[in-house]
Amino acid sequence: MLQLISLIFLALLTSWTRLLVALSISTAISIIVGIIAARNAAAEKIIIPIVDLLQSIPVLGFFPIAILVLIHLIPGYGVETASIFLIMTSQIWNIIFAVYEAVKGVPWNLEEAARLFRMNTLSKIFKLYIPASIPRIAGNLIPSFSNGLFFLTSCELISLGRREYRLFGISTVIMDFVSRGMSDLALFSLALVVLAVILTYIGILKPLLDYSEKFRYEEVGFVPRKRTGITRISEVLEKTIGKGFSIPVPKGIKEAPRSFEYRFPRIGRKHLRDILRYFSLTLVTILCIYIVISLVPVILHIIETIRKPGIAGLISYSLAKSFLRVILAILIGLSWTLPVGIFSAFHEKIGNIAILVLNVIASIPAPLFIPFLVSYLEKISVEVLAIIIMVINTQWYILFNIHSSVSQVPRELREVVALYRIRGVNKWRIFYIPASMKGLITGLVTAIGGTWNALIIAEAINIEGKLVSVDLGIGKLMVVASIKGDLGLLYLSTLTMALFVVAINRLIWQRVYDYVSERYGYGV
Amino acid sequence: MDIPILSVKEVGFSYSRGKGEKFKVLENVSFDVRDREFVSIVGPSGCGKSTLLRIIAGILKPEKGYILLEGKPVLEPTPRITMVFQQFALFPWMTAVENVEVALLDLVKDKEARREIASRMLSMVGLEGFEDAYPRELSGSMKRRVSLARALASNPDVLLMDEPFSALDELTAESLRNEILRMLSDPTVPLRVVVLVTHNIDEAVKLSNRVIILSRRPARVLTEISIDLPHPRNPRSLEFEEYVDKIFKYLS
Ligand SMILES: Nc1ncnc2c1ncn2[C@@H]1O[C@H](COP(=O)(O)OP(=O)(O)OP(=O)(O)O)[C@@H](O)[C@H]1O
Ligand SMILES: [Mg+2]
Repeated sequence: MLQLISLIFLALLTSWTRLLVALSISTAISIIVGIIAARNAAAEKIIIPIVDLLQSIPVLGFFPIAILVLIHLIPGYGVETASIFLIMTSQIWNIIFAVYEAVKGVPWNLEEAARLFRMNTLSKIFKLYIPASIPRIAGNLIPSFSNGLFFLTSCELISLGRREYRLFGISTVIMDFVSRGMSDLALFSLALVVLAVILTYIGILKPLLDYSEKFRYEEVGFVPRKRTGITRISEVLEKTIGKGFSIPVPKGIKEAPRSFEYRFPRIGRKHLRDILRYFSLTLVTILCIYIVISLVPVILHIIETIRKPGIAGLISYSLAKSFLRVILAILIGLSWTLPVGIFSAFHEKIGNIAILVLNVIASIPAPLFIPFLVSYLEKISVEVLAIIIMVINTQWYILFNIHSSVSQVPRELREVVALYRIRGVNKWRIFYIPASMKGLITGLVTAIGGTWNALIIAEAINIEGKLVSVDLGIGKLMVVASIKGDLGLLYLSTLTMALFVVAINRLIWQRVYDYVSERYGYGV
Repeated sequence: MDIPILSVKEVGFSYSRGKGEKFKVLENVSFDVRDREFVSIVGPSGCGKSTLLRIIAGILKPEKGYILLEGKPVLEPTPRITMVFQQFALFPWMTAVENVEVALLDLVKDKEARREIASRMLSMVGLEGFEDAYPRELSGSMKRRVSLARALASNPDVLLMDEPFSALDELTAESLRNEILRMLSDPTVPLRVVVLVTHNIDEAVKLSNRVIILSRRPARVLTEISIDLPHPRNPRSLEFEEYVDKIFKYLS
């Protein structure tokens, strides 16, 4: 018994280590990539579209491929690396965007001040760009953490397929308990996961978020008073970034005239920069060539597979069925989260408690429910099982996005509604619904992306070597292909799904989102 | 002496700052405003002026004391009191004219009549032709004028204004100030009391019958100064400057 309990703790520790390692690497990479994208116009044109594309691809489907590739590259640690890599792909994009947008948004007067104090690039990065990105990074750590948790547990479950791919972790341990009928131990492990999530939140993420508040320099509805010249710069510096960040402002500076111009003190450095530029260019070229070469067998496999009779039909039919499941799952999720999200945001007292409770429930990653659900629903309907898994995974995105977008409504707007005694239908028409629009759309877009990801764990589930699966679905196809080692089918189905999702994103969601954020945003 | 239209009686207020901590903002603030009177409130930044206006408007409940409107307590927002917010407080998803109509939704049930009044208000503040513009398409000064139009649209008895002229160019500001003074003295307009919060002491002396000076937070009334000068007032006259100096002395 004691052994089993220490096994649970060990599993939890292993899983959490994967997660936190992935999160740290993601953050570090994001800072580098984000700053480069924001401060180098050429890099921006390449990086931003790529990141934008990558973040809309349902990456979980690539896990089997990643395992296959990495097992050969890094013998012994292939599965482990693949899982960390996959977890990173679930959490890095939003942090990159956060850094990018924060650095882009560094007010001109701060840039000017930095020039005035002759800061070099390195100290600008550490004293200006990183502090300026900290609030946004911290804000994104929480969603990144829960995305990562979802991917972590999914990766662990997917890895159940083949002996040699097994990942030891909390999800596999829970799955083992359930399939051996030790449901009390499984529930105990689940409770520990909740506890660990809460502790991570209270012990790590929340303190980081609170700490990052010090770096915030913007408020909605803030109307700057008219001031001019140098006093304004130092004032903005003091007020805005505050204690956490301080460029020492020499006393005399406040009275200095504005024509105190900055001259580039860099002659020797130009050379160094050129070398760096050529070096990185060479590196990128080598990387590109490598990628192209390694893509050749993939393409050959794909071509070979497409030629097989019935494959195209099988894939499109599977895709269509999966698409219907995604839509159904979203609609089911929407039906309760929309009213609850709006209500909880506008009735602060009850709402905050409700959101707290829901947050705790939402902290359990959907894949961990799978073992329990399977044992109840397997005999009733695998179809229902799949959709429930997808709903569990998806609903929270909508709920919390609506809640947070509505909570961002400036105080004055609520007061205007109170002042003019707007009630009933009018209140919903002019206030509640428009105020939640942006969150609704963001939530929907994220939820749909998340649901596509969930397909691969919802449509086919490995239990003790037995595959519980729906009749047809693109997720199932991927799982089956990877179990059978049919590389061509695996590549083709993964790619088809990715292309389909990206196309829908581009053609529909992007436009709706742009329209809504222009019309319903509070940006000045 | 006639009874005051608006009375602020011993009002105290604190914000709660998490963990049951209280952040005292107002302490025992009292003053009266009589019929056709223009009163300015000045005080250090962050002392609680905006909070005081919100309490008078019935948006915030005072912790101590109460507000009387012609002798009756104000417990919630009423159509008779309206407010121009320090921030523009316009709905980004509504056009200028729709934003003004917000003030009328509860008062005027007929859609066309609402639109008609709102358009008239917009032309009064010089925004003819901008009815269908969204706030993001308007300049700071235009947004300010929309929020002024919204406040005036409901034909209030009491107009509360929180630094309404601060984001405006001097010319527009001057003409709007004069328009409000005119409305206050025009017996056909229901407007009976104006309370202005401002950082601009010249503006306070130029417009007010009385200037109320608040202390640092928690704000108390330091003193009230009556401005006994005939309109139009000349900011370069000696008496005018004496008033300005006197107020400055209290503030520093
Ligand atoms: N919702 C709130 N919660 C907590 N504290 C608040 C809140 N609103 C304002 N305060 C604080 O209460 C004090 C008074 O705020 P208020 O906006 O009334 O000041 P003010 O006199 O209008 O300032 P200003 O001249 O800058 O407009 C300030 O110190 C402010 O930080
Ligand atoms: Mg104020």
